[in-house]
Amino acid sequence: MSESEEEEYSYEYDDSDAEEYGDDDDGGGAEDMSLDAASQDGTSDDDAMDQQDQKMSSINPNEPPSGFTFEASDKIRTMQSSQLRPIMDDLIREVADVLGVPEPAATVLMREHKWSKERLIGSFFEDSERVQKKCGVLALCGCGTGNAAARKKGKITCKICLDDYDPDEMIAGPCGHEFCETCWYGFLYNSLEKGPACVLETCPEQGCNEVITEEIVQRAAPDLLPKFKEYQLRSFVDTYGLTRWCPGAGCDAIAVAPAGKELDDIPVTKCETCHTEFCVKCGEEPHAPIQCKSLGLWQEKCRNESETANWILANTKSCPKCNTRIEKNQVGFELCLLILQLFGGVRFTLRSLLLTQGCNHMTCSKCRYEFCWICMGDWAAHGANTGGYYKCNKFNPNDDGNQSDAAKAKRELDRYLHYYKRYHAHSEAADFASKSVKETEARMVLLQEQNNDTTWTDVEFLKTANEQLVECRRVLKYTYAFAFYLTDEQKRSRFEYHQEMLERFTENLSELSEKPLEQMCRTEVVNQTRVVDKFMKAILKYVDDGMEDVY
Amino acid sequence: MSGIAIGRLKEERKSWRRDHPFGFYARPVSKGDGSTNLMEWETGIPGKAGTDWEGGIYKVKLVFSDEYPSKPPKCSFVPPLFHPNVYPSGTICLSILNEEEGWRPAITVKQMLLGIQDLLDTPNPNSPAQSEAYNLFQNNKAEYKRRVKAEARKNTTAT
Repeated sequence: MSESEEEEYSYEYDDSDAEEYGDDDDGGGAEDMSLDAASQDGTSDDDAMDQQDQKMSSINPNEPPSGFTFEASDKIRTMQSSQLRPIMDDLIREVADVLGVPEPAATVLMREHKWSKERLIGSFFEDSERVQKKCGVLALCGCGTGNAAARKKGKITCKICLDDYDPDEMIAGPCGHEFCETCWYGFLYNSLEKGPACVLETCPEQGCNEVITEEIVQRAAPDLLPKFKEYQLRSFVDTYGLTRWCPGAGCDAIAVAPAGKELDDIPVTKCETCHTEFCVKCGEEPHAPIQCKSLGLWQEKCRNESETANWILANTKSCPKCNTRIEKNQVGFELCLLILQLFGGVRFTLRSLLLTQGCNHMTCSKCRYEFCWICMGDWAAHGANTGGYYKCNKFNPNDDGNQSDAAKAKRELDRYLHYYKRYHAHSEAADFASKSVKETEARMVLLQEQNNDTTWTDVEFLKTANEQLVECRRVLKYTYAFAFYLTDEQKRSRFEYHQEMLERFTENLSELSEKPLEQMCRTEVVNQTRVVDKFMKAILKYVDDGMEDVY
Repeated sequence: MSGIAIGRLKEERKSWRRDHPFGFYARPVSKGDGSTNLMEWETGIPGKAGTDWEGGIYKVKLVFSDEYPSKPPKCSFVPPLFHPNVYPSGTICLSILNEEEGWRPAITVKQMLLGIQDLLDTPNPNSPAQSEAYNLFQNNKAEYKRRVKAEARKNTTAT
């Protein structure tokens, strides 16, 4: 390893190493998670790799011992579903004990309370019957009226198939509603076919809101139990605030955040199975400095805006005299309505829009200026000699360019486009950089071969530089989304100054590390990698600290 | 649960003949050859006494699928009815008839028809299905009442 040779460099190197291999040492199952936690505590210095860990351990260095093994772990970890199940089961068992209800009921109660023990216990002891009724486990908890299904003599009619059966061929749910074995099986089978929502299924009887639990599945369709339990676990991961499926393609690992601790604003973790990095709060790739919520808004905007922006650019022109945006109705009634919704009323009416259909003779609804849609010139100059009213031979596409637009909406759109273009460019560059990892490896081999006494670790700086590039591009990408939502003029200009610096450093690193091998200067690349890394972290910290002046 | 549709519908038919609410009718349609098609029923629902719907008997067609009773039958007024929760096609928008909402396999034809009867005078303004009846119901109660009474007069004769 290179740390012996390049001290400052090793700082950075240590990080990625610890992250990649450190977890392998304690990659045991959930059964020995308490052990893991202990070992992590002991070696927390080595493991303190990313800010969030440092932050967490500084906030709360000695987490009090807790009933749940995974609460003692102080960092986000990823695990397989088989490892998570015992954790879920423990949670359920404890709640069942505390509340004195059967475990299947506890599962439902916990789910309905977003797996927050505190919230459930709080409302349960306030009015247990109301909570049980609301969650559909009243009968299962033994408070129901229909529990003691009256054992009648003689045949019983199944209310689903309406056939008659002996009492011992019937299966009653906790609510006392009984159906024949076949119908129960069919009902449960169908329910599971519907997918994850099957855990919310209720009794087949009309008006009965008793929830279907593993208890009845066990009795009526034992072969469907594993599938049902799988959906239960899925539902657990989806609704439990501290878990998230790894977004990596085809990966079904689950990230589990430590309970009872404040999470970072953007808690990033790396999947131990497929090595995808993602934000545990929103499942997106790491997106500092922008917050999950703003990121969602931004992505939503990008989805909506791309359509609008394209349409406006393609279908509207400005009045040559007063610069009002005018659209020619080339695309139908619905779009006219859309335009009216967006900009409507003041500048033009539906009638004025529709009247223009087909004809190039435009009349600005604001200043009454009459002009030609094609050449944007005065309509008075048009007639038979210009090719008729439906054609215009005066068209000169270059004339189009000098239409300046004063409309507010346009300015806002331009502002958005400014940020979007750069966001998009860095996004592409990040993709490019992460795709060039293979190429970098080939270059490393070549570089090593150039010199006989060069070892593999001596050329690994190229890989580090490449990884640094990917990360910087990604951060830069999100700085544009972040800056779009920065309203404070002063903060924004300061932020954009830093952003520009980071951009410059990043380009610089990109240039240095892509130089032909014979011109490659290791020290230069290593230094630049370090500078860029430091600078990037400083910006993120600056945002984290609320962007107050730190000079 | 597939394969039990026919058996269940036979039983439904039997129990309907044994006993059914007053003023209602429900029977499978007859095919051309004199036999009956159990998968399609013609039913009639009387307007409740004391409501503007009183006096009318409203024809509803039930179309069952092989997946019945896992899935509800398709229920529609023939001809389409002036009502906020009835689509222009006649299809009824009612929670117990919706697989994603309140449908349960144990709901019987009798319960369905009683549910539809209930819906007549207690429309659900949260799921409008036709604009005409919905707008009048929301904005012009007097005109709505008049239209309902007209609807009742139009549907006085059974079958």
